[in-house]
Amino acid sequence: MNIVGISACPAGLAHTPMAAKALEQAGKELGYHVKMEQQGSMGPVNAITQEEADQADFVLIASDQKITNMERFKGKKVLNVNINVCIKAPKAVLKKCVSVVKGD
Amino acid sequence: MKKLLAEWKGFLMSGISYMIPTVIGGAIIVGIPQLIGMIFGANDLTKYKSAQGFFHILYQINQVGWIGIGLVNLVIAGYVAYAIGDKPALGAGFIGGQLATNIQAGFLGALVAGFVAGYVARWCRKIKVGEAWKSAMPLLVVPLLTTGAVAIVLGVILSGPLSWINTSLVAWVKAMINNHTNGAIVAIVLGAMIGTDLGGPINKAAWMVGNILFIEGIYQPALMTNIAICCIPLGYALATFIHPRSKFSDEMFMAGRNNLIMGTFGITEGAIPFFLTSPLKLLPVNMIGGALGALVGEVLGMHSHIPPLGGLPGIITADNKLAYIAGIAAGALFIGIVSPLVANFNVSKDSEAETIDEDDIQINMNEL
Repeated sequence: MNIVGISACPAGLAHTPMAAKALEQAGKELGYHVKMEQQGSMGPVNAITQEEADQADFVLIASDQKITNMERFKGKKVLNVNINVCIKAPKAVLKKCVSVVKGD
Repeated sequence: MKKLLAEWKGFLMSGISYMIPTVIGGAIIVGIPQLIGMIFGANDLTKYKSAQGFFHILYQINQVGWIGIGLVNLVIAGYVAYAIGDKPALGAGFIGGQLATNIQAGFLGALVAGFVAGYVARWCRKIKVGEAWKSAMPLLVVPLLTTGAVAIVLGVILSGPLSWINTSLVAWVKAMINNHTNGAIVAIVLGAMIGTDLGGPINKAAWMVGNILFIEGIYQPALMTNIAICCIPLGYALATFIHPRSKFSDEMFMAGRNNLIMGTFGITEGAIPFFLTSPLKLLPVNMIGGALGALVGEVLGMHSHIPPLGGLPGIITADNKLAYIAGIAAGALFIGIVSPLVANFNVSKDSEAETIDEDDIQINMNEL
């Protein structure tokens, strides 16, 4: 599984990197390739390129907020999950996302 | 309905995320010249408006900061609109936000403007026109409809009612904080809200109450939230100093020391790693700590006549510095002493069970 995603929170200070790191770490443990872009207070960190976007199986948005540059993911399945849930249970989130995507 | 509310909350949070740097930038640039002026014996910089020399330069810088404070409604309306309707909504949102300031409709007016501009722009995308008219849409039709809608809804229809509501609200808040008993209640409520979700929507709502009132010249609620924001992470930092090292895993100990910085700059999110170890036990501790800090500051008579800065730099902008420091100390001590007694911080991250069941995770899937 090749997963790309974006995390964002109101202040863009703590939740954003926490969620990104939690999901990337959980991805490693589950054997998925996960790359998370952080749209925090300093603009995009660890940005996802068009190439990476094209290769992804699906897009995971860890936020309820406005995400910029979504055009990259045209034609991709986009899954929205609350950012706090991603911090608390990153493995469960990834597993569930994968099963939702496969289920279709 | 629930989904719509969650969506609206997301729009609001997006707006707030753009507003935060504006408010902070404004407050810092108001505060620093004011402080320098105070050190050199000029308490009121407005006296130097048409003077020459050093104090006049301070006055000029200070005025730039006030512009930032004055832009709060504009920024929030613009970016709420942007979150809803993308780029075509931004301009009308900005205009509506400034309109809200001008007609004294405040934050409420700004939100109405943002939502109107955003949804009209979103709806405009559904209009089907022929090829020849395609270029006229973004250049003429969409700006006309979005800004026109803002002008009619906020400029005409809701102008009176919203400015009345906002003016009454502001008067009510002023009366609340000028009365000691009510002021204490406000302090407890705002402080507890800050401690509830540490950077989440409830926390940001309380922060918002404080900061949106800057534009009305009311600073007391911001002082309350700032104390609570500061004392919670500092409390966990303090815990690593007053309790034995064996009570903390290596990770938690590091997180605690890290919270010295988080607390100093007023970032409640620093407390999240601790909170996650046992949320149910630490929720009341954080709420009480935040409320206690704000209450002690309020009771001891903290106040400020310029927009307060967050975190420890807030000591600079506070008029009654001892009250501000005492509030932070009280909240931090409470959390520092109590939190390791009720929760176990000697847990390694790997053994931490994921407390959320897969079935409880809500996922919305769309295809772009």
